[in-house]
Amino acid sequence: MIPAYGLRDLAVLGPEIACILGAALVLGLDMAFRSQSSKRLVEAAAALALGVSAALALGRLAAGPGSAFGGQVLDGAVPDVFRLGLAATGLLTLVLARREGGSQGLLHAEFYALLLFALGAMELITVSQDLMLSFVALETFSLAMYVLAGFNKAWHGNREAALKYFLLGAFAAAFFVLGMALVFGALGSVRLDAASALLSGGKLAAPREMLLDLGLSLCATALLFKVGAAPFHLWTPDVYAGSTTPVAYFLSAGAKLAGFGALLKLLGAVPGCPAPFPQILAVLAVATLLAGNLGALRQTNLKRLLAYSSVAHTGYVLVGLLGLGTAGSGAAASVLAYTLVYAVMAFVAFGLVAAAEGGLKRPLLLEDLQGMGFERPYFSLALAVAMVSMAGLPPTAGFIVKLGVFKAALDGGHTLAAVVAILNSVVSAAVYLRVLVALYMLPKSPDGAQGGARLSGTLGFAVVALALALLALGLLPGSLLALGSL
Amino acid sequence: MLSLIIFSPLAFALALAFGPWGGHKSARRAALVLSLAQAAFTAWVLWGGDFSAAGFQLQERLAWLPALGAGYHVGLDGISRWLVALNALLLPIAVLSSWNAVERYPRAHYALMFALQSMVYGVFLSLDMLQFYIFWEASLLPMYFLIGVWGGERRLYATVKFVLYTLAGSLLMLLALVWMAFLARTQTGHLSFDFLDWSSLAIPAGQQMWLFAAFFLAFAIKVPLFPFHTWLPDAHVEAPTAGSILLAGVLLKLGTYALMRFNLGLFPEAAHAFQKPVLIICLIGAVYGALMVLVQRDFKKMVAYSSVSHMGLCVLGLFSFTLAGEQGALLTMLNHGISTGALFLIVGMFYERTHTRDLSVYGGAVLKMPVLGLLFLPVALSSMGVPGTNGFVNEFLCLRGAFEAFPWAGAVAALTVILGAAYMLRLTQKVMYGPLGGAKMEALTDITTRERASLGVLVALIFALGIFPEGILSNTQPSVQAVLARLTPGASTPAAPAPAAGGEARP
Repeated sequence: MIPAYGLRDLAVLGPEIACILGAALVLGLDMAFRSQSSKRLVEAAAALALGVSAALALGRLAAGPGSAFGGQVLDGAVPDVFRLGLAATGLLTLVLARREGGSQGLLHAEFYALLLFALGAMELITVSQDLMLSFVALETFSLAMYVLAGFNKAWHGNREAALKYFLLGAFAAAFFVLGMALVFGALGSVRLDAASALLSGGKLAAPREMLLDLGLSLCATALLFKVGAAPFHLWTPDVYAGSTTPVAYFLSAGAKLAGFGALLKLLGAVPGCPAPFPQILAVLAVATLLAGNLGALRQTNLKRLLAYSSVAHTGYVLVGLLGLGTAGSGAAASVLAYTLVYAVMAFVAFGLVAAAEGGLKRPLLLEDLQGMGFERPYFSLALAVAMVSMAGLPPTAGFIVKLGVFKAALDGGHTLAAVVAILNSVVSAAVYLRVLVALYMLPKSPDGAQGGARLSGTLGFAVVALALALLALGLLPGSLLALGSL
Repeated sequence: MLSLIIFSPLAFALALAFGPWGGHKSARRAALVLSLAQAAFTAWVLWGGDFSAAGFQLQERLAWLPALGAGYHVGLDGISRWLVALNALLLPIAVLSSWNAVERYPRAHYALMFALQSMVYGVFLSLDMLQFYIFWEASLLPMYFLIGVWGGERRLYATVKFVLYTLAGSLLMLLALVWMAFLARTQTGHLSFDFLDWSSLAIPAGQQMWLFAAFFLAFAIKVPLFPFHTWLPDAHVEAPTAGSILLAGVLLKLGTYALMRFNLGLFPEAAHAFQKPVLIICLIGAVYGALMVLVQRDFKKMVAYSSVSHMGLCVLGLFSFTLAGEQGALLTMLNHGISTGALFLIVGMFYERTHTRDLSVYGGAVLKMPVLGLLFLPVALSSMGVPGTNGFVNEFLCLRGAFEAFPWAGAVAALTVILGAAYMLRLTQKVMYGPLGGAKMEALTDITTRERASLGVLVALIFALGIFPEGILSNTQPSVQAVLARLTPGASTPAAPAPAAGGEARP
């Protein structure tokens, strides 16, 4: 029997549909008007689609949880905020592409279409209750991202980046399929709600429960690859450095939002994680923190530094994830808040990299920033705010969300992991202080880039506004904490 | 009122950074006027409090983060009052000290000094612990930039070391803070970061040990106590004069203040358990610091190590758990701020003229600088603790407290007095007296009116507090006694709110 689906079902998927229709519109417009002026039209269409997607996600948030397609899709407050965040990340990527797109060969309709396809699939994975659907979404956005990573073949290391990302990504996808197969073997179904019901009821025989746990952890492994958790993080520096700046931003912020949105769904299906898994997660979190922070310590290429920093931030989110089994720990909210704030911090950082590398024929290095501090005060202040926020120091939003993940981990009883994580913050401070040292404390380098780093246009406005937002959210974090009551 | 004290310097900092001050001359004039206005306002507010009883005055509360149980809560008591006053006093002095020394980016320099002052006020006045932590951490950043941008040759090494050391300690304290908030939730039913709520919690002895240790580490690094002191000489040597004055004058006091308020106030049982080890590291630090002063060849490093020694003595008094010791510790915080501030000011005056801190160059300065010679002597005597100067009073009280607690501690601590006299006399003799050192000494000019004014104020305070310490001691006593009362096992705790809730909620 084929169940009947109606408009109500489609409404739940409104934000995704807006993205996909937007992608189609972009491609159609590009075919209809093959002229230079269509570039702006295409950009506007993409922005419109993302705006509609965000608005629909907001509408879903207001409407409350809804299940669709026979329970294969289930949204709720947390997934809706993830979808909202993804649409916003997409818009920010457009802002970056607008500034850098011309020189980096991104101003093609295909770029916008791929971005929209990826975002649609990313939004889908945060609401999917069905592993098969999740897999389709995962592969859709992964494929789009492989192409995006290799979009500009003239850019240094671009082909290497795309190939590396593709090969490792394909490997990760295999984990997901294997995991799904094991889940199916245990349950006869790949639905997360079915798994959840059986696990909480304790109706499963021990060997089958083990099979189920193993399957779900393999699926989680694939997602951990996407968010760049150790030991699956080795692709990040090469891929970020090899991709164009807008794409690197999208890879870091978008993939984190989608990956952690999906991980929350997946781990949420396993009530009271059985014994070894939280411990494994704790070890992974600590390993990710160490890999990211220690790796970042020696980087001189700014994009590679941000790549390792992105790995380290994944580690902090994983620390927050540790509290997931404990009621009242606010773990899901802390993960959500952290990824959202990360998307903002990363935008400010990548935006300033984009502003500074304009016209540069090589990757932006730390020494290019030397002596900028007082010469380009607003550029430098914005970057300083982003760095202080990434280091998790008050009075910035980075501090508040870091406090949230530590609180969640402590509430979950993972004191040791919290202690190691917080000591890692010292290492991370050393990383970000290096940027501040370069900006304010070192004299201008003779080999450094000259003249760049102007904040202007949409990018300048967005970067300054969001840097101020990081400060404002650090002082009045009411709205971040309101995520806890979702 | 207290909020105005905290946030007016921040507003001034923004005004200085973005206001219409073109050259460094108009910037420094604006900074001086604003800092004096700030000090006058703070003095006026402090005057109004009633300190005849313990407890917090002029409290202000706002619901800031109800979801976390953290609020905005400030209050003033006899302990914080004088430290706030010290903070207000030292800023104009620091501004005057950078009058000619700072020509690069003067607006940013003065703005950072005001921002630092604001954060320090915040630490002294916070009664909400999350808010306290935010001010505590935020106070790092202005000093980081002050040293890093305007500092000496090895400034990068020094400033990064300073931040990382301090951060390493304070991050563990953050976990302890969250832990305390959870403890408040299990005992009162809701998360709370409020110090007054925490004072009435019954903290199991086992947990007290860990919490005490986490707090202690953070504060001991800031003070700094041996063996966590190594960042201090580096930071001082590389800091610009104003940075050194503020660092020694107020930033170190954050540590001792917090030890007194939080470690002793919240974890009395753990404090008793840790008393002897802490006393021992204080003694080692006090003696070691003094010995290190004796072997330095760098003017500023001498003063920096003398800080290590003095702060060791201060915490010694603090951990004697006697009235004399606590009062002495509090007085040491003030007097050290004044006399070491003055010493760094003098180092800065010399450095501006000679561009070297190498002591072998110095000698016979008094011949060229009679006025400075006159003002230098009381500062040196105060640092030695000679009767008649403020240094004597606090040193005596700390020693007495230590002796009351453990005679051996007092005996060893007395050694630092001898060593202190030895190094200060050596310094005075080397720099001021004897034959003229050489070409650099020949070229010295005496201090200007501006320099006389800033140093003169401090010297006047050295005598005033040396002759009439009672003016301070009498109105710190109730608050200090309240701290002591919590430390005395079995005694009722008159100052702590709701003391009766103590024993029963013990899980």
